[in-house]
Amino acid sequence: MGKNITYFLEAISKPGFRTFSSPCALNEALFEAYVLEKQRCTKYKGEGKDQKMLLRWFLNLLGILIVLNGKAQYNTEFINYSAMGRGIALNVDYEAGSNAIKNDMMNKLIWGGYISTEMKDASDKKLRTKNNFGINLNYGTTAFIKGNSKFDFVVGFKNQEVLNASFNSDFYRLMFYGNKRFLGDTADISHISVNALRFQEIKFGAIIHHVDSVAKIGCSVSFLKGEQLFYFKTGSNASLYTSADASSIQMTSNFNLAVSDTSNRNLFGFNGIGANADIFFETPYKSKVGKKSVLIVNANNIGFIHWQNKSVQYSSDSVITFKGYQIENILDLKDSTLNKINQDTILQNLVNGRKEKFNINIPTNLVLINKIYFGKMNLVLNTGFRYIFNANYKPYFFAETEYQYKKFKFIGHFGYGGYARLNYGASINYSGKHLFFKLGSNSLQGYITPKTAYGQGLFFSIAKRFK
Amino acid sequence: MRQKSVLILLVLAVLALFSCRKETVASWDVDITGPVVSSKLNIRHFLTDSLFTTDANGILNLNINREVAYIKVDSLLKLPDTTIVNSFTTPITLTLTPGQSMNLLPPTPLTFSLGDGIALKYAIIRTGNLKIKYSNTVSEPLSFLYILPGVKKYGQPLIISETIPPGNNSLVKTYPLNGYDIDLTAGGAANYNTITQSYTVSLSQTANTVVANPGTGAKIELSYSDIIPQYAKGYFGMQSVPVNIDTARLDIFKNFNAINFQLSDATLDFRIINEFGAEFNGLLSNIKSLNTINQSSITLNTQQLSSININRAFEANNTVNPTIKLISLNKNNSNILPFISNLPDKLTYSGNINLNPLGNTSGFNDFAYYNTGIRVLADINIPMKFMADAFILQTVSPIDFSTLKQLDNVNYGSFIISAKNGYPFDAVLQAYLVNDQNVVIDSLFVPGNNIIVKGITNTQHVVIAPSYQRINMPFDNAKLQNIKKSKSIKLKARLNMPIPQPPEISLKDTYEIDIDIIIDVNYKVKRK
Repeated sequence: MGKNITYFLEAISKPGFRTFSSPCALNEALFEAYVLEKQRCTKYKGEGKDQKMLLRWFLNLLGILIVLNGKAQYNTEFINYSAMGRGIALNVDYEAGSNAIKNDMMNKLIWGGYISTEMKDASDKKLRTKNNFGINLNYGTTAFIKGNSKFDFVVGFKNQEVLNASFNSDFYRLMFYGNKRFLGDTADISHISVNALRFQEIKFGAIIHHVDSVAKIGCSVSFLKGEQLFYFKTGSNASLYTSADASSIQMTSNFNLAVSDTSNRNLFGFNGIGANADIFFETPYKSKVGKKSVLIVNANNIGFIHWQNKSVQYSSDSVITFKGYQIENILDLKDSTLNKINQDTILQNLVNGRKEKFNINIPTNLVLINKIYFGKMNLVLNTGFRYIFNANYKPYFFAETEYQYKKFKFIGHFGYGGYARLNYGASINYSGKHLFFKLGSNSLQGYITPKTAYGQGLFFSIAKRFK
Repeated sequence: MRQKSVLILLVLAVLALFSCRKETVASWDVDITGPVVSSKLNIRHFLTDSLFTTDANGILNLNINREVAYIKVDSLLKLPDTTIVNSFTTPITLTLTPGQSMNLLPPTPLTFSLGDGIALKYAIIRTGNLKIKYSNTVSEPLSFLYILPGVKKYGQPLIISETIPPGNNSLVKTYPLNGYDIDLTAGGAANYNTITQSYTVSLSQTANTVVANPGTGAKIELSYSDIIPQYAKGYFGMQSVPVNIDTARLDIFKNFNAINFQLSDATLDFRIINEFGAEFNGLLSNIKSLNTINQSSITLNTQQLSSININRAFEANNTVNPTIKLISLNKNNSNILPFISNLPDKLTYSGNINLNPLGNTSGFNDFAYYNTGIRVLADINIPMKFMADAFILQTVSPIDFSTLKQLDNVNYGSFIISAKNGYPFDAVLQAYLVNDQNVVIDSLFVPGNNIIVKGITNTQHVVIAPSYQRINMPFDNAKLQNIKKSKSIKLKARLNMPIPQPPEISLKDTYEIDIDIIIDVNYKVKRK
């Protein structure tokens, strides 16, 4: 199995395959890998065994993908429609990853627990100039309800939670080790971005499932209730200098910070109002490879939230030197004096804080999938691309295999990019007459080798199907 | 089917929205260091309620002003409670019809006996009461009209009109006299202490005709009580008022103590302010400086206070212009240096005051206003030049960190005191944590590592450059918990003079200790 991965990586690293300019490119990479394997077999074992070799290669690859890889949910309901049809579903979609923070540390950050120095050190060694981190958690319910012979309605409720960041090594060290290691030194905290967002949505839409008799077009709009926002972004000059004797801290504060009403943080907190739209398009097309090809384009969360006037924005673009809270008489150093030295006071003193309304775009999710059907239409190779705008996300390229056995579908996933680096995962679908079920992960590596791998994820759907 | 679907949808939606919301807490340790507080420690901070000035040589002078005594008007010019009985009886048998006046003797002026030779011509009553007990020995009710023409308020005389039922003390009434002017010259007919009165006694209009036998009629008992004058004018008499031994709190040196402390110079000025329109002569004696901490006492020796003559104040347009008598004590005319070097927290004194020692020199024009009197102020000036082995400054500040949750997240660390000492002596610091039972439960500085070394001095022991130190004040979670339990913090600074001891150390205006507190902690960050 490992050898096949090596061949695949070898293939995609050849000139011309370094980037995937179309949905077919990754498929072609896989095909090239097959050709390489064939050449090696020919070299060592002679010709005439093409069919067996091809079958073995595909079985091996399938095995790899099923065992090691997974399929992502991609935070979209329309993609489920093809498999599930009409019905009412409960969906949970969770993904977390970082290209710097190892999974065991990520687990502590997400699920709680103590992050040891060893964990911090392990991630610290892998830091790049620019790193990212992200968590998406979405859960809700969706119903595809019968419309007429050409379209169905879709309604749903969903809770979306987003936390992502883009950071450099100094910022990581400042956050997880403190500023003591920067004594007499300047920590570069430029181009840092942190977004945390929590909102709920009510969705209404429709899917036309027989456009030109075969294509599908879906569209929905959602009303959004903004619950929590934390937005932080530093400019190119942001830095923090700690003097060698720690008697002063100099901050070049080139940043913007926006926070929603902190006194109203709960499910019923109505701190923002917004709207978004989801667009879905699926069409079969003819290709040289396979018996049938289908192109899926999905863009969702296209919208914004208008945060109400109790939200606070801070901005600063100045050099601030802090040499301690100035007290004329040291004997006045009592609780009432010290109580003035709190976060809010310092923040207010350092920056220009104001309460006002503002708009923030929510992370927009774009997914492109190319499906190629083989055999008796029970073997499918998916290649795809995903990008989340406004979310510190790197372009994500993936490949999936689907194998249909009776009512079960086994899916393997392999991808690179996004919040993590290398992802692999697997999922299983059950599609019965009345029940649809899906369980999987697009990032199993985080569960298998948490100390060395990056990223984790889980998705789950259960649906009661309608006629 | 659709209704069922919608119902399921709603149930799932509620489940979805309310599930998965368990808060998690990730934690990790970070090493944080940085400045917290930048401040100064100065001798001025320990001596509260005092004013420092700087002399021409840049030496600090401590100026203390305290009121030692205040003898108010009410203790010198008390108007005693006075009771006068007036009888309005008929000397013959009269048959009285309703409304008929009794044939009575003409009224006589009412004279007060004030004692001590006091002869008042005019007074304004601030507060006071006139209580009248009425008796009627006729068998029918009598009408009584009583007028005091010299007792006026807003220009109107005091008029009392009552119906007296038959019987002894059959009616008792109290009339407030607040705000009344009193002409005590009886309209010029008398010199002082006398008011005129007039009255009419008649059978009540509602009574039956009655026969009044000789010796029957009305009797009234007038009691003037609790009279406090707002203003009084006349002659206040020759009075001798003892000033009993009393104690005045100085509270200057309550945070300050010293070992073998000896000032080089000091002055004490007594300012005696006379707000009375009368002359005084007096003496202050038995003045002691008490240091209740050291249980030491020094008696002031001087002749300056044995006979003090104080001129009268003047009034113009209802405004008092007091006279001020200044008595200066210095190291040449008193033992003021050991007296002040005792660092008293209290002064005791006694004395005697003689009012109008030369008699009625004003011609009945003495005056006094309410809430004025004779004030004795002590003005102490201490140039900060002294000899001492050491002195100790101490202060207690209330604290309450019990609600400061961030302290729970500190694993260990230290406060670093970065000090720049500009004083010509070493400072040994200690801070004690005191709980709600006023018991010291912990201390912050490590003995031996709590000394801020003196500044660099020249041969005259003048600081020419400060010294720099960093003192480490380590703490762990246990000490932080003690800080949270504490209700006050007692900061004690022992200032050790150089050895061998110089003849004199001067504290200059520019001397101080700059203190920067830097925190260096291992802190548990918690992310919810």
